[in-house]
Amino acid sequence: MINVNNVHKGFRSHFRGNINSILKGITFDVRRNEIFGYLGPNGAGKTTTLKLIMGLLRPDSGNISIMNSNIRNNSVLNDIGFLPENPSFYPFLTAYETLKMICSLYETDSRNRDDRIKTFLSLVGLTDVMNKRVGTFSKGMTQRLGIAQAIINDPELIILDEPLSGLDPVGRKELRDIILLMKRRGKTVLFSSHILPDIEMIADRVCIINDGNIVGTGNIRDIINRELKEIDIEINISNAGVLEIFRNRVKFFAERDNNIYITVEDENIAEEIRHTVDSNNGKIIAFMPRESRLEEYFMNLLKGDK
Amino acid sequence: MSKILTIAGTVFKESLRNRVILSLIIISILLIFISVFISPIALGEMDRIIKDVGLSSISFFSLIIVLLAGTRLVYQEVEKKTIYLIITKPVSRAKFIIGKYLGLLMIILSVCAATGLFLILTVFVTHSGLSSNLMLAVIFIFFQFILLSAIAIFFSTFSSPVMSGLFTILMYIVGYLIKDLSFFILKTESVIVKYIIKGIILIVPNFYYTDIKLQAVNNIPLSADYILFTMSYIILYSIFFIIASIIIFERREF
Repeated sequence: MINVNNVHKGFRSHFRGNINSILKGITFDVRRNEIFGYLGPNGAGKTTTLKLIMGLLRPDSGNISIMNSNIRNNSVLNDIGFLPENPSFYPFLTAYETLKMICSLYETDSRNRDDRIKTFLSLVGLTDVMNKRVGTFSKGMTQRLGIAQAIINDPELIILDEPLSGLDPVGRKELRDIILLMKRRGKTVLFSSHILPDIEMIADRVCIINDGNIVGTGNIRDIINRELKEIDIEINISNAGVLEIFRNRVKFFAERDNNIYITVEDENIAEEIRHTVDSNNGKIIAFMPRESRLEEYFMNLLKGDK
Repeated sequence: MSKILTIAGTVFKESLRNRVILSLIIISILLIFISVFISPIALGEMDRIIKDVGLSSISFFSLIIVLLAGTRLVYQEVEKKTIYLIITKPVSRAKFIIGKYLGLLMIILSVCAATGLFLILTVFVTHSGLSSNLMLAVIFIFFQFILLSAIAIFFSTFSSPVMSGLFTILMYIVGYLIKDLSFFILKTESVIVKYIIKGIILIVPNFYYTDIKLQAVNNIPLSADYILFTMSYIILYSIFFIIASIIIFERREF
């Protein structure tokens, strides 16, 4: 759906100044009908990448293709919906008028336009304020309108730059549902964010950018389950001495209130402990594998990158 | 064409709702109205005063609109990021510029039409010598601002509203002084100055062509050739500035 191939982009700090390199040869692809999360800390180059994909910026080198076409080809834009970071609207137009104007800019059938606008306003929860001027909207309402304008043309590809920012927990849940709905309808969604739990909940694949370099790409389930990080075990056993042999082989070992608390990093050791406890009439109170969460993966990648 | 009209309509609707246009029309009409009462002070010059004040106020308030709205039209879109709403849709940058330009012309047309009609009505009611020249003068003022709007849009594609306003007003003033500059070429002995002035005359449009207040006030007839020439001159120059704006805008990154 999208191919970004060895793209470089830099900006001059001022006229005749040195070029500050923002993207240093990034490569990734977004496949059809997937939710693709583009992650990175602030200033990593996420917005620059999305602007390049949308043709708002031109790459210094490398190439980008969307649906096997160049974004400069205007007709491709009929199949793309874009939400910029912190979207801004004409303050004197109402939400309804704004979407009506947006609809007029697409080369589509103008019949049922009124119904379509109302449906999408309802989808993003703005029906009650559809005749209010956008200038009076809160940040969350503006963000919702931004999402409506990005999907109103039923595009094949939806590109969202920080769509979850400015939304309260309810709004974020609703947006996650809208993104999942889009996927069910066969759409492809590329979105950037630094709200990792949300990405973890909905993305199929993620790509992590840091300081203009791609530091990791992969399937979200693989990343989360790539390695079992740690297992916390809580044991109740009368003969605690039998577990002393593990003290130097585990990450954490402590006795408190007749219970033993152990943290292991190796699944085999965990199984040995379980076997030892069982054979000595002990009781495993808790056995909690701690999964590698996206946040940890993200932080580790960033640390490694540095 | 419908996309251009959508963009133009949005510019017009926004400007109507922020009430600046309406305020300017009301002030302009008030000035014409006041001129009816002050004109008896100038003995025997009542006709001239009403027409002069009327045409000048139409010019002045149209200029204010171009400076306030025209010079900010593109720049503000980029600054406030509303441009992302339009150019990420299947709309070429050329259509964006033309739409913005037409929107600005719709605003100026509404000011010229409303105040022009009030002026004509005032002249008719006060029996101050209504002539076709007066209507032509209003049309010529509109044509003058067709060109000045194109110039304002041109500057706003690459400079801030303050700088665009400064450049636009400078073009307007120099455009009025071209006749004097031509005379200065004959007088000056410096070759460099001559070339500089010739360059200015070549680039800056001659706004003097569009100023027919004198003819309107004194009922001096204008030839059809002159009218046709001036209108063609304005349209060609406007097209030139709009094409230049599009070329610059096409190269811009956002």
